Amino acid sequence: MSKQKSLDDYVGVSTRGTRGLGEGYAEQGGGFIQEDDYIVDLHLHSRYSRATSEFMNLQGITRNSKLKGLRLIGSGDALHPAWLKELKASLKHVGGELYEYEDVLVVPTAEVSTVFSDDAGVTHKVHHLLVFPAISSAEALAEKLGRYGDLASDGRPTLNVDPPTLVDEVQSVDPHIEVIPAHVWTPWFSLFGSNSGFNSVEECYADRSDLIHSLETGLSSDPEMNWMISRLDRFNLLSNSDAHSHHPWRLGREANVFTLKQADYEHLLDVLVRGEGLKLTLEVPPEFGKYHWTGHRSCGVSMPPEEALKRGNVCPVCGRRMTVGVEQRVYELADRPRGSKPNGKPPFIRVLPLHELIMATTSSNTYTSKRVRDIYQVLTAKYGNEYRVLLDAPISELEAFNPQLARLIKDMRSNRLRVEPGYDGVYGKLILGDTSFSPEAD
Amino acid sequence: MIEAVFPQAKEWGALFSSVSKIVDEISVSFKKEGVSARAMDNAHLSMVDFYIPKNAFETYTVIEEANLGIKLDDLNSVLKRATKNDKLRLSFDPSENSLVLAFISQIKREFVVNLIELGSNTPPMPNLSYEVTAIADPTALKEAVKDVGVVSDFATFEAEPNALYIKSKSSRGSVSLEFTKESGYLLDYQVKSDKKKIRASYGIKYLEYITSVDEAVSVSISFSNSAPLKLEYQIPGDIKLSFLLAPRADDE
Repeated sequence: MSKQKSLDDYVGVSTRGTRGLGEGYAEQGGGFIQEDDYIVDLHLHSRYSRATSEFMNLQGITRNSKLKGLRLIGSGDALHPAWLKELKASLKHVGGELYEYEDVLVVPTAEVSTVFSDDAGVTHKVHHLLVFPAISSAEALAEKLGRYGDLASDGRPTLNVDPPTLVDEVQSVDPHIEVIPAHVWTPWFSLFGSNSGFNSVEECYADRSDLIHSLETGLSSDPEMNWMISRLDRFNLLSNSDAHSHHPWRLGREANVFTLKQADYEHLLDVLVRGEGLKLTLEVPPEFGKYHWTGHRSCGVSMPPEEALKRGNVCPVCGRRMTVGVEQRVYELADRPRGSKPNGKPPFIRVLPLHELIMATTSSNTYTSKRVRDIYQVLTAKYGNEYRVLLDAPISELEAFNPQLARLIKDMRSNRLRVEPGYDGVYGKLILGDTSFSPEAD
Repeated sequence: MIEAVFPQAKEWGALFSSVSKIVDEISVSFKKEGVSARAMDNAHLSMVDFYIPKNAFETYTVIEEANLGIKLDDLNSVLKRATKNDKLRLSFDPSENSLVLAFISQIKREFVVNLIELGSNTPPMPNLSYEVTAIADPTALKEAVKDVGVVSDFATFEAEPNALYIKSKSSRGSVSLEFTKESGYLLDYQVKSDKKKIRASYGIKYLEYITSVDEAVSVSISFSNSAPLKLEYQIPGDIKLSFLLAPRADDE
């Protein structure tokens, strides 16, 4: 009896449910990202941030950005005096207020951590990504923010300021600096975080909320989860890596695809403010993020929201409070079922770093093993960069090279990868039959 | 805000009637350059895609581009009420969750169709190259599919250098239909392959769905060995309507 094929095998996308482009994916590869599109990672850090690689310098970042397929990146840490100095000395102004280094476009960005108490005396810690039109505006803002914290001690400075005041300071310097709440669901340092966050953008930014246009969804959530909350409909949902190292399994592991009519800040703002040109986002499975489920790391306990709620979020091993994961937190605020998709929202594609997939098909358990490195080099050389391998390479060609990897990439494109959900700071694990593999911690 | 007048309401009726054969709901995108939609059926065997450029309209104003989620049963019930000389005026106000359709002839009849929340999760058209392309009479194709349906639940499209065959066989018997340029049913026929035969099979039920297109003047039939079938209809009023259908795997 003959077998009926599915168009998923050819089209590479699914309209089944609302899992964006991720569910049914391509036998033949791609077609999603055109030559003119920009794969963009706005959130990364320089070596001046704490817990970052020493190779997070312009050379290391841009070299691997190209390998990854990123055309536009954030500079990261643009409020740090030493990094600012390097940026000024090394970045070439390409007009239209974007910069360039070694053929990669760079826009000045910085992440700040605001720590403040509300009227009830509750302490909140919220991270914000700032995108600047020019290095000079980052310098001017650094002048202003110096009074709230030590900008030189950490590329991601901690500021004793509340978010509305931060927005006011930003506006007073340059209204074109964009403030984007960073990784909004992370339990400890975010807008909606279960431990120090708020229930709405308005609670956090008060009457400056109108100046917030985009949200960064973070690794542990994807657009579909955010679509469950109708009051987030007006925001553009962005995905960035928040990379602390220059390795291609960190840089651009989540990213955005922008269609920019012109590569300048004005058109970048069209995307960040109005969503014009936000074509799609590239998302790791949210289970892969290290705060997806609720759990307790020291006891090795994790569980889905419904079970955590039954247990009152108490660890069954030690009786302490578990860290409430992103999925549970989203469910707390949701007013729509999972699978809802608001009108006009761009789709998303599931990705995992190619290194993760290669490692899973080899006996190697380090990103830097020769076998993994060799396969990665062959494939990126053949197809041009990592995202081309992940998204565009025909499965038939990959099969000829490495059938196991081809199958895994096809599974990734089809959203059929099984992932043991991450929790309380532990990354999710890719499950392959009887074997599983966990990515190295940052 | 959207305001547009299309000269022939019945052609819109034909279009959405065909679309509704494979999907119940669709997100229709009103952009400055025209109206389009693309969707896959629930089983993911077929895809429909259409495009109406703005110059096909008598007037066309899109102040703010929008994707309108439409329940096709609701829309088609209204479009069926169109008569031969009716023009169709479409209006959408973003503050109202509805599409207003007015048939304009001697009297104006106005219907309001409530919209549904669907989003704009449009699947991209796969970038396939086809070895066979034939331009055919849509009625001939429709009748051929009906003929095959008499004996089997699938149809094999088979291309030879000078003729296109639609064939099938089952325990009940077999059927073979031949199309040539000489017969007049093929307006054009191109085979870009030196293979002796190019063939692919498709389920008859879906073939019936995607060949039930009224008002089309021609259909372009494209396929390759064991690859999806693409049918592109040319409907008066500059409407382009296409279907993709996944193959069965019997030829592999």
